[in-house]
Amino acid sequence: MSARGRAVAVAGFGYSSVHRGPSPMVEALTTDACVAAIADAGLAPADIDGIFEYQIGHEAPKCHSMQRALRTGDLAAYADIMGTGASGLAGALAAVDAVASGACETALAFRGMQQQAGNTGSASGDPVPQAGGSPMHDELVAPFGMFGIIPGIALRMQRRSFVYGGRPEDYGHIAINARRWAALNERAVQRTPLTMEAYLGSRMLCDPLRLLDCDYPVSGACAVIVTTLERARSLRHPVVEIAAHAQATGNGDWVHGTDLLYGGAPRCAERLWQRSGLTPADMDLAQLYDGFTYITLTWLEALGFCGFGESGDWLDEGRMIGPGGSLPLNTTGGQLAEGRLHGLSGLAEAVCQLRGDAGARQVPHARHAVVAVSAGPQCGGMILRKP
Amino acid sequence: MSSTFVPDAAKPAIVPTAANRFFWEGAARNRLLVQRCDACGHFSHPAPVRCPVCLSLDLTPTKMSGQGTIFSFTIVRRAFHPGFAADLPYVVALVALAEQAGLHLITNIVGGPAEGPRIGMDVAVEFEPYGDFARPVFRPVASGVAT
Repeated sequence: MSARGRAVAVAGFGYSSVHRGPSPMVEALTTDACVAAIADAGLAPADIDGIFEYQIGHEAPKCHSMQRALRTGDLAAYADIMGTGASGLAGALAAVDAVASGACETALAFRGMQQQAGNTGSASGDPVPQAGGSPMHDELVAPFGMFGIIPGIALRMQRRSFVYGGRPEDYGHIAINARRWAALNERAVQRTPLTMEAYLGSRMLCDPLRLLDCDYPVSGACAVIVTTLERARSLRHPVVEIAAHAQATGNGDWVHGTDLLYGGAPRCAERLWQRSGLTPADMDLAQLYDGFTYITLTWLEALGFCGFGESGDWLDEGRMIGPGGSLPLNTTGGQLAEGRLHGLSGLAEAVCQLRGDAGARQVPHARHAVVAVSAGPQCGGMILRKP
Repeated sequence: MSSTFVPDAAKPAIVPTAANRFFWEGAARNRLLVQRCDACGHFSHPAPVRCPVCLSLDLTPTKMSGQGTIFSFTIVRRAFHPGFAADLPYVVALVALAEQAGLHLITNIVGGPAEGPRIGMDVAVEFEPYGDFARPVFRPVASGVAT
């Protein structure tokens, strides 16, 4: 027993097929991912007594639809998490709390993604509809031609460059790194190598944010199985323990805030290191949210891999984070190149790597990994350990 | 791109919510209004239900000087809404209003030096008609760049 309760592990993960562009099949894709995750754990649907999922707002299947689709047992713990949460990791974070506390024994967490209008984290070609009550305060920003999240991220990048300097190439190294790893991942949708020249030449959407700073919108799903460490030891795969999990928000403001740079990310990092007793130097790899290249840089700094504003130099022209580097980063190609599965895929990949099942992209002797998802105003993360 | 390009498409109408009606009606009368707490004097934008500092319910729309500085900005080069396609490129900015540290508002920057806006630049409000209302936009002023 730790302060949070029972020790917890990830016992399985699964993906659906991943499709470029819109798909009417999000429920089928989500079911595929859940079935794959349960099978990967060596369990049956009846073993599932908790389900958690995250979505932005009514665009994806909910817990009850997966319960019916899979015929799980009675659910002792469950929740649809909508809007405010650490994106695709939010369901898994809630699953950890539920299992650690004893509210349930074995929880399924999933994220179903359907590229569609209003799916604003990507460079979707679709105009974003106005809606009241969003964290973006649409009524107060749309009349100024601000729609979706891209202009807001550009405001943050501009502010970052004012405070810390830096070069466009800093972001470019994140985009290029994604393609290098994606070349080793058959599931990835963008596997062709990217040059710095092509990155810098990609279309400017909102200065200084380019098209290739944005993740690649897909339809697809990812799911994980969270259970007690004790139970995980009896299952079929090497155990991957969740050594710590944490969330943070800063002041929670996406648009009008005074801290456009980091929000809650440094507090989230502090909680992860404190609770796990581990340090950045212990990490063998990292899966850091890359809905935009900018967010990945802020996580590297917030987690303490380098100082604030120093990630550009720290990347060492990308050598630090590529295959063979000191900190292999986003080893599936991440959302930029594997496709936008909203961060839960970062957890699945960390587990895959620590098990030693990552094939061509395997990081040798990987024992510790950090996963961090979403950005400052609503973020979360986990530290994973192979005992 | 899957969006349909409609060159003469309308911009989205301002349909004020109860919380923000004063803001748009004020702009239509060439006033930049922000909610100020009667009890502690704190300004809040977007308009809150209660003052976030002292939780008072007594808030009064208060005319601002219209002076501020650019906290950050972006030059929008892609039409996220067909109604703005003809305006490209245009500048969306987060302006820090002079009255209170951290009091920020999303707006547009119009005019200014040929080399474009800069963070720290002093700006002043003006009002552009927009449907039944107006939008408060900001223009760089002569005093130059404050860094």
